[in-house]
Amino acid sequence: MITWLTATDHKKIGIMYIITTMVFFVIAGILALMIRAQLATPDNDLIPSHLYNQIFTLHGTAMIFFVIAPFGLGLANYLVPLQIGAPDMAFPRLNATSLWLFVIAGIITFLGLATYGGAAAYGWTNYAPLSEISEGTGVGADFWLIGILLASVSTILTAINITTTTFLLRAPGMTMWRVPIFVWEMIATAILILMAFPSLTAVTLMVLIDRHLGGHFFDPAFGGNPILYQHLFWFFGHPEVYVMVLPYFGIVTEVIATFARKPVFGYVGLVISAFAIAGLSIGVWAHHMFTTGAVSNPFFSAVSFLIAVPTGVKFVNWIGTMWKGSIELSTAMLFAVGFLFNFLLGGITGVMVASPPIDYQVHDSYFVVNHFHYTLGGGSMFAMFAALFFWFPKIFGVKLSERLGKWCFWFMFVGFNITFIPMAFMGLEGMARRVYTYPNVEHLALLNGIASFGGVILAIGVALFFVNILVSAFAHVPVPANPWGGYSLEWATSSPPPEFNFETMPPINSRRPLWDAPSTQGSGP
Amino acid sequence: MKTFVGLFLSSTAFGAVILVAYWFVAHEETTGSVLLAIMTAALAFAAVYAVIAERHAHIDGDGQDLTPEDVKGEDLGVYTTHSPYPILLALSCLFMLLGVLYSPILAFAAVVAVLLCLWRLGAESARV
Amino acid sequence: MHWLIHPATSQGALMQQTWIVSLVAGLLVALYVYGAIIWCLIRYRRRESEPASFTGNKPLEITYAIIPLIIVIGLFLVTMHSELPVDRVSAHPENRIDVTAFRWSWRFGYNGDRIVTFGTPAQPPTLYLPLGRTTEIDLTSSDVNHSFWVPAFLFKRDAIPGMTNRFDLTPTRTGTFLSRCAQFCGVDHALMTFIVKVVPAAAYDRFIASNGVAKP
Ligand SMILES: [Cu+2]
Ligand SMILES: [Cu+2]
Repeated sequence: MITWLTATDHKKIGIMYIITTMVFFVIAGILALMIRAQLATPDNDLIPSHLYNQIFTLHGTAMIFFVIAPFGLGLANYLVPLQIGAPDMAFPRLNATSLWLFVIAGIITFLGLATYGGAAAYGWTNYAPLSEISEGTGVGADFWLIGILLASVSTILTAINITTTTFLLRAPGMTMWRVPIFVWEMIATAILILMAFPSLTAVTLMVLIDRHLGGHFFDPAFGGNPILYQHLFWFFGHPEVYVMVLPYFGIVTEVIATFARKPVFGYVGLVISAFAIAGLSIGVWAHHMFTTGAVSNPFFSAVSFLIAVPTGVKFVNWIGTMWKGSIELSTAMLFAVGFLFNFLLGGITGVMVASPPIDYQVHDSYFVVNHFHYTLGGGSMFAMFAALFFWFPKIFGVKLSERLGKWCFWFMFVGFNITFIPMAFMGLEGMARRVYTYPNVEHLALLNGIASFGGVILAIGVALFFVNILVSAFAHVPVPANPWGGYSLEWATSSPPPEFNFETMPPINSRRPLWDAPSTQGSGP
Repeated sequence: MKTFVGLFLSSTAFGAVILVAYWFVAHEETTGSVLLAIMTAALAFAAVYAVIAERHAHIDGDGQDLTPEDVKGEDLGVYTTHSPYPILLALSCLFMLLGVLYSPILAFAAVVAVLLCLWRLGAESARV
Repeated sequence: MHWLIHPATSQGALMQQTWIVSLVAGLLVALYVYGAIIWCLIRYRRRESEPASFTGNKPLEITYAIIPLIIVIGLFLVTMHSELPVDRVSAHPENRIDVTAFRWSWRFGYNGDRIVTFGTPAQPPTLYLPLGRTTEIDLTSSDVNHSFWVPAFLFKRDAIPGMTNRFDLTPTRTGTFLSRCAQFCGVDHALMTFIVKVVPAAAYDRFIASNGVAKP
């Protein structure tokens, strides 16, 4: 136990990151089921509004700050040193500090539930001046702010660590233009974090100052400005969306290339598009503010539209990688293909909401709930499961059951779409997000009923994943170093890898070192 | 390393382009311009640092034809596997924030703890 | 489209064009990409034969960067075509109504606040609008951020304390439209609804002339 609490080895830290995100994933998933239970029928009074508001706030907060974003960082912690042939991250102690700041941040945020007056209930965006009015004692809201503050600092430290590691610790011959696409996506993510997260740290501190030290940053009665909050928040908030997506682009690229048995199509294009997305994403923050009447809608609309171009390039490259390949539909590959299907829909609704006249109708409605769940749920979450199935044997030395895995995928894929497709129509029919109840008008009752039914199927799929872990751990079939025929460096070392990662380092002459030196491959051609 | 210098230089240039474009379209809205200006300045700082650091850098990973054989016996540095201070530092940070909000004594004690942890971490990394 | 998006203002009709163009473009792109993915999965599933090993195709990649660029430029132009007129506020509005959002209902002030109605979460207020006339809404909030959303007009605008948002609405058909606050504002956000009633101009004039006694 103590050896884990004090560990600075990147693999142990990565494992603890991933396990923590899985715990929060289950909690946030249960919160989502409570939301669907409350909304299953119109005028339902199962959950009172003050409790419901805490539930959706914690669901969003957990999924964003404690699941989707840190899973990418945790996986990077595990994989980046392995993929570039390094013995560890550049700053192992800093790395451990990031991990524990993150774990503590998650716990303190949820501890709000145990306070009198309950947890924060302002939505994950925590808009001021609403978030400066305390309902109850406000201790839960303070805990939320402390949690986000710690999480933001933790994320910045990890970004510094990832950037430095990839700068300096690449193995001989592993030039920048030979590192796997996952590493490139993590570099883009890290630089994006360094640009955007300080704004979150600042705005969270400002709300704390307003609440406790008599500040009036966002209080118009004292010359403050609510719009200022939105600017500072979304200057972080939109890049955060890509912090939650770029690592998953990397995962999907690796998985597709491995199971199509082909080199990545358009390596340079994938790298450039990652940085184009990261760069453009700092110029679009106020597309979350189209309806405020206080920002330049044409500017933010134009830049938001432009992001579709590098994202389109990525789709071309993924399809190009599959083209004329030899595709094996393993569970990991199924999840990667599921990502392609869902993320494309999220991207298309994303282009729609980049248009202010469309946003005037759908902003803060269930249409937007549909949009971002397709990108972050159907997109990133599916890629997260692709990663879990793909790298689980490497991390734990045990293969997950493919049979159960495929059941898991189909339940999740079908359940996800049944849950979220109706939401687009709810939004068009006038259902606002963050409402604990809705009247029985138009088709809202039917649509919500379908969505709640889909939620149950999705939950079964997720539960099957954890069943799979138990079953596979019990069966304990040991795996070779390279069970999938992968060709990046992490497959050259044993599963799980030894301390400091490599007993012998293969020579690196190309982007696919294991392809060049078949002797180091465990199996596959 | 050259790639990284280029990366930071082009990021800075891109930040500047967005800043100028934004200024032209929406300069009456100052918050955005200030945010973009700070961000571009920070990127420029990183770029300048990268340019300077690059001159003295010697990175194995940049050698196209370097093989593991070539660097045998080279000092790779020492990597710790355990340290108790990161988790203590994280806990102290939590108590520092809680202290600022609810109890000055706790805040003071936590600041001392943070400084102690930082000092020990510094001493640990100096030793190896 | 009619059953999904059926705007009741002239501004809404303009925005409907953007909706239709974007939906059609989106569906075509989705079909094309889904087709390509499914083709790959069927045609190139694992067999004995060796997979190809090409690593890219510059002309093809560039073409597929330019095509989305052209699409989004087109969509941006369509967007601006409706955005600019919708955001324009007429210098001489035929009618002006002050709307103030508060936790958790609305205050409507007609004719320079000579007629004022308040609502409560349990008793949502009614906003009367004259048919065919351009009404300027002056929107603000007295506490936190809210948002004035009339789904039937395809339109919402935020009510933000410390600033006034102005916009024009020109109803094109009479009717009663359930409307609501869209920006989360606390405990009773879900109940912060109001009703928009578009009435013939003559009935509206009688309402104003009688200082609110003659409900249209
Ligand atoms: Cu955004
Ligand atoms: Cu409201």
